[in-house]
Amino acid sequence: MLASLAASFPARPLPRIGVGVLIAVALGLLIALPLGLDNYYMRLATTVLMYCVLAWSWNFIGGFVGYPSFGIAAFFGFGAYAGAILLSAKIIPFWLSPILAAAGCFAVAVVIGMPILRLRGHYFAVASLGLGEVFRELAMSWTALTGGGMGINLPPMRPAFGTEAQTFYYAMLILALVTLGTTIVVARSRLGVAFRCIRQNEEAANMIGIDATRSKIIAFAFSAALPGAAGAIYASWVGYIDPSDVFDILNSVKAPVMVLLGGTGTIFGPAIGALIYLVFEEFVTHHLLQFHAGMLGIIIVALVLFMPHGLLETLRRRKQGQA
Amino acid sequence: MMTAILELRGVSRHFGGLRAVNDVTLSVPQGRIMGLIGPNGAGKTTLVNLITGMIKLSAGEMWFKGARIDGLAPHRISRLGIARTFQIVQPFPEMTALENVAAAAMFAGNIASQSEARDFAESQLERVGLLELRSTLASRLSLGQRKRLEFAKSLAMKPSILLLDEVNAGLHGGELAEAITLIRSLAQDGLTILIIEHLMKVVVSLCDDLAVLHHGELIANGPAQQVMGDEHVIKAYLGERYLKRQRAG
Repeated sequence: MLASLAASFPARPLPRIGVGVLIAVALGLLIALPLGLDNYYMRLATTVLMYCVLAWSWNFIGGFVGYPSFGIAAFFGFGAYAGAILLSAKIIPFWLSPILAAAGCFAVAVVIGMPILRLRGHYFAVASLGLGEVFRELAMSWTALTGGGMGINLPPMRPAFGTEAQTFYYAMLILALVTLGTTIVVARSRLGVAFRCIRQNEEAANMIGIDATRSKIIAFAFSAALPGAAGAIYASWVGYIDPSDVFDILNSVKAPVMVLLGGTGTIFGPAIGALIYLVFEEFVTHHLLQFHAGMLGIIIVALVLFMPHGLLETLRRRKQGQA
Repeated sequence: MMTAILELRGVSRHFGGLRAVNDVTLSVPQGRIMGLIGPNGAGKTTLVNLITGMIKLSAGEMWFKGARIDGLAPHRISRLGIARTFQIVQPFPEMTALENVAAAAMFAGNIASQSEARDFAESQLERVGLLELRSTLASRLSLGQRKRLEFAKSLAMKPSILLLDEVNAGLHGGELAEAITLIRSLAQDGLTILIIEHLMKVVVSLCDDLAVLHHGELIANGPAQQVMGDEHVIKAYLGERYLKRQRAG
């Protein structure tokens, strides 16, 4: 909803300078953050940024277009393996690995999207879920390339400046900003209008000249390429990957839950959802370790019962009700 | 011989054993209002779905402005200048009236700039008398207003031919009169109109030509007065309705 408002009207009459200052302060804080953080918080901050990328990526296909994808883990894992294989062969530098992983995931998503985006609703959800499992099995069995169940060790990275932890933080930060930028540009473009029309009524969208199939494939490819890049950075960051880690089905569930938490189809909802979710998850793992696994379930149930439209939309509606 | 803007040649659509549309050959002359009438289940909406590419032909050919269009995807057909309204209105509920019409202008209307699309959309909303409701969500409009929104959306596509599927059903007296005036003014501007209509008084007051479908087959086709005097038509369609009305009365 916010996205649609943002797309059709100029932002609320906040003074332009005010917005500029706000953005500059936020960016400054994000850039300066590593200076004041110990290793634990650096890891947490990098993780938050990574999940922001995954949540924003899911938002393209799941939020804007309304196709409930569970394919995030598939492309996160694909990107992680692409990056790991290229880096351990020592044929590319670190900074190139997320770019190539993204390009690879984009291409794969276009090819796979053509058949599975013909499916709607539950059928599409199941097909996208299967994708991750197929990729995981491939990584398991293609031992010559992927090391199979043994996984891949990545060569240690020697950062040009700063520490290794800082390098990965900044890499994730850049990727998160690219993802946010893509989200904003798409939400305001013709493509964004096409996405919203398809979500509301695909048949009527076709009738007004929207190439629904093409638009859906583009959305799916965006929501594959960006997690792919995140996967490549993640692989270098942790230094060792195996199929059950990077194709973890939980990532396919967490991303949509984060978006639902923050607000579907909005611009900042996914990031807010990711932050709330991860802070909550940290808290639970620290204080209620035995209960940690039940948490995702409780969040999902609470979301469905109390905030089916996400935090931003619930707040907006409450505000509208008071006005 | 008038030039035909849309030509159907031997068009059929079978669903299993059911011949929903069977071997229909029909020319829609440019710049006129043609009524498509027939009893419920005669295949009128199926024919519109075939023309707009929503469902595929089982047999036959369709030509629009001299180019073959059967087999094209719906979005391509709509970009060529064929617009339709739905029997059950299909707005984008979470978008405002203006956003709905602007989207149509942007894609089928082929207006690249979003602000130009909105300007054009405003002029179309004004044309159907919906301008003051431009910021209202489509889901909050009344049925009559939604029908007018559907009209504005179709017009924003800059069509050469407009297919109206029971656009007047459910409208009350005043709204109906307005709709008739609007349709007539569109025809005067040179738009070709194919209208599916059940209300005979609308058919009589609007249509230059009539095509009558019965069990999926075209049983009559020609100038309105001539078709309404046709024996088959009276038997298959007008007579039945007339008898029903007599019994009800």
